[in-house]
Amino acid sequence: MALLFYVVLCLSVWTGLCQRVSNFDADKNKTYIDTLSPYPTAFSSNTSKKYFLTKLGLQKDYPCPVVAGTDYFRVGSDGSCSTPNCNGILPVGSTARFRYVLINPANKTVVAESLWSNNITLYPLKDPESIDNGFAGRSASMIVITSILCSFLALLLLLLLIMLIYVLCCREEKQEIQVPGSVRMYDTHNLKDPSPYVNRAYEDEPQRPTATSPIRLKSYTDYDLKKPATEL
Amino acid sequence: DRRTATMADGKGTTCLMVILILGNIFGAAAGLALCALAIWVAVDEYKLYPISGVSGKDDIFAGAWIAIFTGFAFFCMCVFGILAAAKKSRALMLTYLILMLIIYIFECASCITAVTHRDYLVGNSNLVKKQMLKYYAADGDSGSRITLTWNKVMKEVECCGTDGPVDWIEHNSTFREKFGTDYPWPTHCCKRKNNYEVVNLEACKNGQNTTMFTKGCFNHIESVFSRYTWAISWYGFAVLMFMFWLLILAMVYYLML
Repeated sequence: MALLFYVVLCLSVWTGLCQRVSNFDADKNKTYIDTLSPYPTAFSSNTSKKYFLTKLGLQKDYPCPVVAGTDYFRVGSDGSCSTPNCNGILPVGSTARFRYVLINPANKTVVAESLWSNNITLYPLKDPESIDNGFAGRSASMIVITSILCSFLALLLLLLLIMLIYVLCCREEKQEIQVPGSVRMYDTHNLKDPSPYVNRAYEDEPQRPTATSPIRLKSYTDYDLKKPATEL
Repeated sequence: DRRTATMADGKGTTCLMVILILGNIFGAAAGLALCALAIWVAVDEYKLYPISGVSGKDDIFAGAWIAIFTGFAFFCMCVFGILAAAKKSRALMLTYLILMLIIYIFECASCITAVTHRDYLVGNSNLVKKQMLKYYAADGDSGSRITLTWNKVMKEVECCGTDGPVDWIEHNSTFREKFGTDYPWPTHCCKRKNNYEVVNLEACKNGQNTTMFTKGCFNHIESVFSRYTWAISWYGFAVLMFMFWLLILAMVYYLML
């Protein structure tokens, strides 16, 4: 007699204890157990039985795994399905337990069953908009760089300003006073060289009459002893 | 005759002139190196620009672009400074001082911008994670750029998700809404053979850690952006510290001229 293999999933919402184990245990001894709580209605409302049976199959369909370490059963691999015994996804964030049962194919009563597993809590699905990507904090290097650079820049600007003001306003005291005609160099006369002496200190002054530019007399009378002085 | 007055401290001026010329040679080399380093950052060899671009916080690269120009400008100005110092010309020295100050201001801006935006971007993993969940496998230009970038990172760095594959199953995402719950995470998280075939798709879907990558990608992304930022901001900071003292010396020289 071929026996059918089933997996039963039971759900609990509030605490770690499976409240709905009792639902399955209550139905355990009835016939046609695979139709008592089909998957689409198992979790749909508050009054549903909150368990479902899935993965019907004969024993020969479940051989021992060939590759070691890959013996697993993936709950929910059918996604959102609608047939009565499909392997659908569990509600998000719920806590579940499972067990294996052997069912008599004739009247679908439970023949043998394993123990309930431990509670398995699923991840609650968080909204990505709830991630706060605002202020991530300031690193130490950012504070060092910003503060030192800003203060040095301010210092540089200040020093440049002070230097410019100093150069524009206060620099005159350092310069020497240029007095026209002050004797700085004196060249002695040279008797051997009877060229007319030109004192270079007086170069700045307006042109004075020298030997090269004779004085032009406006009137000149030849001084004659014979003639008495008539003019003056 | 002004020449008589300055001849008295000529030795000091010559000494300062030599120091200035040497400092300017060093500054020119430093400025050129800054330009080259900034070009390396702007080229973005790790191709992670979309992560910063889509979020709008791409000023690490803006800092790099400014540093390209200020680095080259520092080079040119330092060469000019050598000329100004050798000629002992007051007008040239003043021009040098004012132009160097303007470039100094821009370089300060570049350093501060780069380091501040690095903090926004990779201070913690939240921004990168939120962007990945929102834009991976999304439609549109941003979506495709983010998807391509993440696929490249996951393949090359051998990682999955931001802090780990758990990000994909803990949060709702565009990827989950599009592809349902059969694939809890993208197939790029799975280990592949050399011919790009997935080693074991079912085991990868189940989360078996021998067949998929379990470390997060955030460490790599953070280290790349930090590398770019330290290149621009810390090296720029070093150049600016050197230029500060050079400018102080130049001001003293100008006063002595």
